[in-house]
Amino acid sequence: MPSNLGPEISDVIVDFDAETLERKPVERDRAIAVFKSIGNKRAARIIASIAHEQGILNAHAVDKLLLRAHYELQRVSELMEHGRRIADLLNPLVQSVRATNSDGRPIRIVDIGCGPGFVIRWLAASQLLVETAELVGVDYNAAFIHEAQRLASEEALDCKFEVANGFTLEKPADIFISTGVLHHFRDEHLKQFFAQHERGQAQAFAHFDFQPTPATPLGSWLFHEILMREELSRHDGVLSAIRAHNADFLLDSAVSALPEFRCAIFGAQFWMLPVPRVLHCVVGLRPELCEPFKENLGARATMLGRFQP
Amino acid sequence: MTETTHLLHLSPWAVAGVLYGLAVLDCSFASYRCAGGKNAAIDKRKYYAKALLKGAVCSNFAVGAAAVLIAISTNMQPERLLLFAEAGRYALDVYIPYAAIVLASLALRAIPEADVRAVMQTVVLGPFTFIRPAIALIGLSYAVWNIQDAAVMVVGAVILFMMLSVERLFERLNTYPQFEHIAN
Repeated sequence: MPSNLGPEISDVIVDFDAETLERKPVERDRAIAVFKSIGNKRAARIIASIAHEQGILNAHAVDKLLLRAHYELQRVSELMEHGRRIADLLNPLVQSVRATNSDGRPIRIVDIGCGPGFVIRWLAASQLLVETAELVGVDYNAAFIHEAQRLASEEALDCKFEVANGFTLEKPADIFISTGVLHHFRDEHLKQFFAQHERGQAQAFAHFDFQPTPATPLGSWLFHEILMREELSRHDGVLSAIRAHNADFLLDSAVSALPEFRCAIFGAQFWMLPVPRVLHCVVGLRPELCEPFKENLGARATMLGRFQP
Repeated sequence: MTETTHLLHLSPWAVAGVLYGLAVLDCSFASYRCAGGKNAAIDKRKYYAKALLKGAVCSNFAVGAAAVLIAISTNMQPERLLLFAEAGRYALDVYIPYAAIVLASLALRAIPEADVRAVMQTVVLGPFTFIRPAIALIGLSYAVWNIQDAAVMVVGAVILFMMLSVERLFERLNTYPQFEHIAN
């Protein structure tokens, strides 16, 4: 493990213009230097093994590598039954939003940073959402979106994917969701991420991410050694679990960035036991939705922390 | 040979049968693990069923190779068959508890509670998959150590090699349609 927790490799080997979403070339030497400067030789070696032309990382090779890593990540999501967990949380959220939304249109759920779209495709395939919902996945990376569209089309799934910033969609989201995205935003960038939920008509959000605990380094290393083949998956997977934000920081960031929302942590522990889950979730709702949401959660309301502010 | 207490008191044929069953299971799971993470479809029931079947079929080649070695060895010295059976009993003393825990945790996946299934995955199946090579080594070493016979040692070494390399072999042999367009 690197002595200084730097970025993940996947944060460094791709770059997009935040406004145009256009892919920017990534200089191989500069990417390697990022990790060498913090003594992370392993990451530097992984980047050095990626094909390049005249010092620029080959975008196609990078995309293929990232897709392979995401395939492996999907396997972990499947083992952890992440799709079902999201459905269990989304159903009460969607019901709460539906109750305050009388125009009858489907609730639009947007998965931010969806990668190859596992969660959205799973929700579409399982049909576990009790209310009619429009399922949309967005990502900056066109390769992920093409793959998500291809996979959805192969299984004739009713969902959409777009290369887009989820907060500036032409048809805005009612509910935002994400998995494993929050830890990519560090310090003030996390507040900026949350602040964007105020744009448009969003009524609620549910962002899942790793929950750091004392057991995380060993547990995530073991899990990734068993389940991952790609060096990048192993490196980034363990690092992302270790550098994930704790619940207090997530909640403070969300609350300070979103005064119009009430926020809480959901699913931090197994049942009522002091045993942490691998993933926890920061949930945010418009104030008038909080009570209906708790009611709709039913027995799962015990998994919900206290709403703040 | 002194009478030894084993976990299961099995006849030579029963020892062979149980070891065969474990080999089929182990090979099937190895193939299943190998197939994992290479197919991003949501409904993968057929895909995984094929992977399990492929593993089960391949296990017969490995078991066949071991059987040929044992047959050659016992053809030269028929009394060796009892030594092999006793070696199998020693190996089963290690493999049966391991297999029982793994199969019990798989059975618990039938519980309709995602948390229980996830805990089983994290706390039992994951670590037990991780220690599988060590268990393979311990089981055969335990058998070879107790039997102290050159032929048993050679056959044991061949079986251990096959057990440890089966997953890598699947990794090399298996190609999955969805994986090709993103493969290296």
